[in-house]
Amino acid sequence: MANIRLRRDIWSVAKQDENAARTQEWDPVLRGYAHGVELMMRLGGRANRNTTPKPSLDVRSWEWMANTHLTPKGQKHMQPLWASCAHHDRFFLVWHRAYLAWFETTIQTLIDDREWALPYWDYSDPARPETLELPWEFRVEQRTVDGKLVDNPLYVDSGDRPGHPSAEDVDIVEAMSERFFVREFPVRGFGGVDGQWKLAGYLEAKPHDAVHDRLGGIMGDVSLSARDPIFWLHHANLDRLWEVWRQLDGSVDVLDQGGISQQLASEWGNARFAFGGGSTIAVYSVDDMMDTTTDPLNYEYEVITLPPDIASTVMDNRAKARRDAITSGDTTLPPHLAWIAQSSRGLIGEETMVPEDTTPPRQHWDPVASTPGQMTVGDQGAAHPLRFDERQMASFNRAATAANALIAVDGPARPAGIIIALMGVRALTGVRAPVACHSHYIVGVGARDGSPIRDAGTFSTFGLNGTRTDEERNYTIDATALIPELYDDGWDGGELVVQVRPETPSENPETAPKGLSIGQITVFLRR
Amino acid sequence: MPAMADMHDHIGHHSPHDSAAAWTGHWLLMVVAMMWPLYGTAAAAIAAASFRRWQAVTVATFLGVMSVLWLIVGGVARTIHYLADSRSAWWTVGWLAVAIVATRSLWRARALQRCARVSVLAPSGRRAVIGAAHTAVRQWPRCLLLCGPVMVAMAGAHELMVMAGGTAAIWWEQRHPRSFRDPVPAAILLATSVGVLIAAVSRTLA
Repeated sequence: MANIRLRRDIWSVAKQDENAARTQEWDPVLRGYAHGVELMMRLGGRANRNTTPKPSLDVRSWEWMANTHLTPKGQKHMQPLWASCAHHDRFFLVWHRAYLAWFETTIQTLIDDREWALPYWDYSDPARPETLELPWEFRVEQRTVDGKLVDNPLYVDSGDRPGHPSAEDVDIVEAMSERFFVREFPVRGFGGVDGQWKLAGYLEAKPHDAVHDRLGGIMGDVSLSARDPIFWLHHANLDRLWEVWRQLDGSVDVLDQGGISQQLASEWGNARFAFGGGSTIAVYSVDDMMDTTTDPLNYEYEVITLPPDIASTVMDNRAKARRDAITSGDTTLPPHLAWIAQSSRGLIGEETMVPEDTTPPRQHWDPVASTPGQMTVGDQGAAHPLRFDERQMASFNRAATAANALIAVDGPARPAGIIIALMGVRALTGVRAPVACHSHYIVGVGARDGSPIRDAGTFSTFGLNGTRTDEERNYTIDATALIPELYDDGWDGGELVVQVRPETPSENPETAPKGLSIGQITVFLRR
Repeated sequence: MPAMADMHDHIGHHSPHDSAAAWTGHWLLMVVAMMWPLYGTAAAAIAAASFRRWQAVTVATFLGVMSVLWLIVGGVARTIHYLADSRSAWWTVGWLAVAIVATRSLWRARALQRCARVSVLAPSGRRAVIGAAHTAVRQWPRCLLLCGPVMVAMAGAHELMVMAGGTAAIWWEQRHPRSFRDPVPAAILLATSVGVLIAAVSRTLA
């Protein structure tokens, strides 16, 4: 068995300022990375938008590595194992873990250092806001090697990497608060949904999509993003955050989770991911991926604990979700344990004596309203009143009243949750701007026409710009927290106004992105 | 060892010369028995997006479109069988060999992962029906890749052994679509091919 390598936090090895990054020798971790990337680029490909299609390309080249993730539109000499990435998919995390392992092994081979490990870019500690900026090693055009200034292979022109994420973009509280890896549509889990929906899990939506989009340029275009050297450190951090989530009390990984579909259980258990081509194909099984400290991965992360403030909020959120499930009768604990949990909550103020449930709470979500057709969202946004279907609502109310009666809640049935599902979202193609849609949109809801619109959530459109025109995504926004305010606004439970608007409208309408088309907006209510 | 020609007319209990109605009935029965169970995940997604009173309509639309597409494939395959007058075991084994080779294809492995998606699904009305039908059409290429050669092998001869082996291989692969170059379906198809040949030889000798 090989030694366990340490994947370092980039901030433990990065230089503190621009001058040091340009004039001083780098830490061996970053020196090895830059050397490996340089060797890959010599074999083919650069960190820019230009494609260099060749009929024969080395599987270890930068272009092959990047094309394995996704290929630009019009890519020639397509290879079968290119464009294999799993996005808005429950295999997102495990596929990228295997992808990183293949990339890391390739660099080790090229630089002839079996101990080298990929560093990660940790940006999620609110106490270190400076980590939202890229390390200087990725921003200087030249670096010093053996006392000489040479071109820096990690550098990307600012036009190709124009932005950086905000604290909101890298907020991991929502993702870490979710205990289950998958949930049933329309609810999302930490890693995705159980079913055929193209829907991101919490971690994929944020920080993954959000960071890609905020960096913009190459990183903001899913078909090019793996050409930017920071891509691999961003994904190493996401891989680390999966490990952080796994070691949190109460987290339930896929195959430990009760109630998942047989399809998912068999698909997950037997999945094998292939990389490379020709006679050089590397295959990784899911089993290989579930323990990073054994073959073939053999690595661990420098830090796999949450910053204290985040940890405390996450555990509070998890405890609240658990209490809610027990009091609402949605818990999947056996009845005697649910009874003990409910009783002890009142008696001793905590539920630690009852084991955590490994099956998500039983939640019943019913579609009650939808847009009559496709909706276009321009630079100023668009709003649509969605009238709830009367017969569906009658059925919903009967079931909700019965459920409420079972847990002895007085008064008329009220929905226990609202989810807005945006389905078949595509970027409108156009020639007015370099991108077809904004990177971030806000979804708001109002009680009725003329009522104030309250923001329910945001989504990032990473994956829609730069890809094929028929590329589409689904998004779900949980508006449950707004229910009391909607009632305050005079909501009668008969309709809901849904608004979608760009987070930052363009200052110049002439250069505004064309926008989005949304195939369908559906409102789901929870009994 | 019997000659290849001797193994003609020795396979299956339904030949390409059966009446069209009988063949269609058997073919649809086969589609329902073999294919419908594979569509459970997609059907569940369609039902979850539909108003309760529309669930039966949308799910039936999805299954109906899938079945019609299979009927068309079956019709084409049967016509080829008819024109080739191919009631030979070799014909069946040939298509099973195509299916075995296909399990090694990188392009096919890639395609299997890509088509299992549902379309935009409205909860009721004409758009709900269109969404369900579109989902069927969208998933169709995956089904064709997954099951095509095996179904064509069965189009001329609904032999029990081929049905059982083909079904097992298809079901296994559908349950493990990300298992790169999984040897299990290939092994099942190989065993089926050998079984078909042995059965044909036995019948010839008898």
